[in-house]
Amino acid sequence: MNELSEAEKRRILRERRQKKFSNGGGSSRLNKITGQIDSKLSTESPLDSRPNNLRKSEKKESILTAPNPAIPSINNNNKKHIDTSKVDNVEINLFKQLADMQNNGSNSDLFSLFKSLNNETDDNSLSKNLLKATRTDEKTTPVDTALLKYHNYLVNTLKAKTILIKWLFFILPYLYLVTRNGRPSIVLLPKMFNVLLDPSYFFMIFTSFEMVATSIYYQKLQAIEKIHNINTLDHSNKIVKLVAMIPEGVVPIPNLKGKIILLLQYWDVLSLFLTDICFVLIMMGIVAYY
Amino acid sequence: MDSFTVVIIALVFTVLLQLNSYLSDDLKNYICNKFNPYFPPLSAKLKEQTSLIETNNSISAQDNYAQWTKNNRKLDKLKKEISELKENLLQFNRNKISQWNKLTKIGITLPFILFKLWKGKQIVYALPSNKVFPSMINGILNNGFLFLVLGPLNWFRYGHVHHNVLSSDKMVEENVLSFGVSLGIWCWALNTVLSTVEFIVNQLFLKQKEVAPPPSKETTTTAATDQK
Repeated sequence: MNELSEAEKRRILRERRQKKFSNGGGSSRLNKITGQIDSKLSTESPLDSRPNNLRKSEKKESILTAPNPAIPSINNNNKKHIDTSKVDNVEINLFKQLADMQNNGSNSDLFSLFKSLNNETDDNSLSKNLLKATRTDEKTTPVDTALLKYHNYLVNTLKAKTILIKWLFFILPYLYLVTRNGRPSIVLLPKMFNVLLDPSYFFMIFTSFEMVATSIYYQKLQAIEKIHNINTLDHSNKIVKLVAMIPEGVVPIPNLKGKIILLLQYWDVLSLFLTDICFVLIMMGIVAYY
Repeated sequence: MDSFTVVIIALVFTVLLQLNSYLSDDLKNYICNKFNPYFPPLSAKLKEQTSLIETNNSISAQDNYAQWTKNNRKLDKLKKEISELKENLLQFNRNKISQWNKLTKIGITLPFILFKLWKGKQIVYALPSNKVFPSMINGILNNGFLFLVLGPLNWFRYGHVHHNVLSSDKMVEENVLSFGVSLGIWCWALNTVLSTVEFIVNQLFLKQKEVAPPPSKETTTTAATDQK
């Protein structure tokens, strides 16, 4: 055994180190530990295994179908399947972007789950339903409380002003003219308007006025909602909030929340009408006594 | 009982109920404190506590150690006594307020409901003409909301919906029998108008004006990106 000199030993060690560094050195070791390149650990997720199997089966099918041009229908079906999966992926990406805009970071795992479900099921019905459900929730985007408070204040002020104007500038004078019964008229109206002051026309004119006034009120309301991008009933009504808590599919009525909102809107219109009828009744009573 | 008396009684009940609803909890507590036996000792103890705190703040804890510690011990004792007295005072007020609520229910709300049930169908005033409202609304005004349910039944039984009011349709045409507004409907209308007036006054004159919040960073950034 011939012993190596100190200089040779140092040279061999230097060469080994250089070789190690050229092969990746520390990073390759780190990769081995973390399970990336050259790792002996399995990096496959159980969720990935199915799509891989699917891809393998697709490949097999393509191998089987490729030399045989007599069966084009299967190929077309596959293409369709791939196209639909692409569409679903686009949908998922869109959903992801929307969720990112809402700064909801915890959904990343949920998307991968959706994706795996999307690949797993052939008809994709479950994932589509889930996406649908989340999309309906997206419509009710969270609103700043200060803005919501200001919005509610504007809406209530609009309602109060509308009622006050209706009462003071239309219902009260019109009621006086209809119920004056021989009392001297303050206003000298042309004869052609005397027909309108006939009590039998009162309800018709009153209802027509209510329709016009309510439509103007709703136009103003929608303008406020458009400026703030807030649906008043959606954000401040307790019934709507309670209905929104019911998960989709529990009640056998599709779009229950939308229907409730529509119902409340009709009720709002009806309550405005009833309030004015009440005012008419009270004023008629006062006129009847005095 | 004539219709005017009925209206006056209903008005008195309504005014009393409205006044009771305007009484805030603070005002009720203030009234209760006037008759509370725990209030005078509590105010005395509170005065003593403030004077002790003032003296302790005015002297040095090192120079007047004995007096400072004596006051401190007194303060600890006072704290316990004050908390007990406060508890008793609040309990007394709570009991009195619940008694007051029971009294208003028995004394005003219940008699008013009974009065409405007794005289609910009495006509308070006649409408200026039978043709002011459609016949269906006339029936409701005349008989109350039960007419909505009983109307169709009357139609099946007697051939016309307003059997209780009219002896014949000819009388209506000739304006012999006139429709009126019943007490039940009038009370409902009065309450609706009062609550609406309350809402208008509160919203337009009493409520503090809200100021538009400054646009958030998110909206400004999105607007900037939209412009790009």
